[in-house]
Amino acid sequence: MAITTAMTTSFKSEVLQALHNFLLSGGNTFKLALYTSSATLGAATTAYSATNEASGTNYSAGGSSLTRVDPTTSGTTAFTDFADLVFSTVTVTANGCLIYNSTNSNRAVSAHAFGGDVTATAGNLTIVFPTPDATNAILRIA
Amino acid sequence: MAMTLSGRLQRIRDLRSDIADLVTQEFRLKCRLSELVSQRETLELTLKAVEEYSQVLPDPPAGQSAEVKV
Repeated sequence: MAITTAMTTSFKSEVLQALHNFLLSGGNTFKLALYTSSATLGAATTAYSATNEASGTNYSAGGSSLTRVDPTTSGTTAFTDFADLVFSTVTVTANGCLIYNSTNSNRAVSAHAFGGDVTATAGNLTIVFPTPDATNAILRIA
Repeated sequence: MAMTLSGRLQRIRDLRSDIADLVTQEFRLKCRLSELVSQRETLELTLKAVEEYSQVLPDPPAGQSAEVKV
């Protein structure tokens, strides 16, 4: 059991089927859910599951909605981004997270390992997304 | 109807008995009042001690936040 950072394989296929819309206006709702070290997440993950999801004060199953940023391009790379996500005043421990499309059957987008347990105790747990450019953006198609 | 002498004596005995009961009740009430005053003083001392203790307690620890880059 482990969490491996990856864009899910199912997502790659679903993008070609127009099952995900990241536009700020009118796009789908994407959520980020936290998971414990007991979870298995990675390229083979196809959908959100509550199994081994983190739990704690002020954290709700399913996680929280992300704020989309319009996809754009740089050179030959297309990418999109999300605003940093803050789980406010939570007491929770997480080892990784899953981004998924809650509008469209909770289809998995990407899994992210934190590299270890991250704990907030009656504080904010902030998920910081990388610089939105062609080499660092959270979701890129090169 | 005039009361007989024996009747008057019985009435006097009853009144004295009633007076004795009232005196006893008064004594008990004074004892109870004394207990309540003592309890109030104890509670006031306890409250004062709690207030003084709460003033020296440190502020609750601030929440521990975390940040993770994905």
